[in-house]
Amino acid sequence: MKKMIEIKGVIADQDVLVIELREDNLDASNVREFKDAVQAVINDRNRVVLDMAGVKFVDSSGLGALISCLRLVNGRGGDFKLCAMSKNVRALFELMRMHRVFNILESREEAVRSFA
Amino acid sequence: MQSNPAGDTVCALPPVVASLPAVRGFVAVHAKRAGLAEADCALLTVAVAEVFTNIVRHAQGMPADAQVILSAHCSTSMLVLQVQHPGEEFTPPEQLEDTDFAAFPEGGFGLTIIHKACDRVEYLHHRGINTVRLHRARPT
Repeated sequence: MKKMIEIKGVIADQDVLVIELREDNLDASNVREFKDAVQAVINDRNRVVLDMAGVKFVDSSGLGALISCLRLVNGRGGDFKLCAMSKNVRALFELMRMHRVFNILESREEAVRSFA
Repeated sequence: MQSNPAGDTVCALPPVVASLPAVRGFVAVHAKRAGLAEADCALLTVAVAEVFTNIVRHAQGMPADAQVILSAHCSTSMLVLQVQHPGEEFTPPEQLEDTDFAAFPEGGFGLTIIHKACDRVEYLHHRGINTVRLHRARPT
């Protein structure tokens, strides 16, 4: 049976799409479903924030999926930003120097404002 | 979890992604017990999960009912986490290339994470068993 992944997209100020990822983990067990779900929600939007509050674990598959989203949105001149990242997930981004690739903001509000 | 004759804690898991929560739990317990800082525990957990996921996705020649054996050995200076599985020998690349993020790569990070999160990584193959040993120094 295909595993469902829980995400929710809401439109915030500045016409920013904020995606809430309601999963503890983004890893090999759910990354395909994540990519499908997020890409369906992103659709043709070019201002996107992924709220990672609550995500406790990301592995290399998860990093790849996030880069895929970044490529999709950057490819049409937009930006895909991350926010509310836990310290442990941030440690992985820093280990892989991906904190230099993504725009990572402390909070959802800050991330939305950054598009102004 | 059980102990082997050497006194190391041992855990046997089926090679499926559904085992990943148990893998993470095993590493988290031992990394914390070894006194590693929270971020180091988290990175070591990712490293072992990467080893396990590589086995699930890429291992060749594993018997259908084979299990992956995790074990943890803690000395005064080092935590060693070992992952073993039967199958054909896995030979990692001799040199890991730097990731070119300008090309938006979507994969190939697993081995880099494993090596960056550990002080030393050993790959062994003996009598049909692959062994990956991840060494991480304990704080002094």
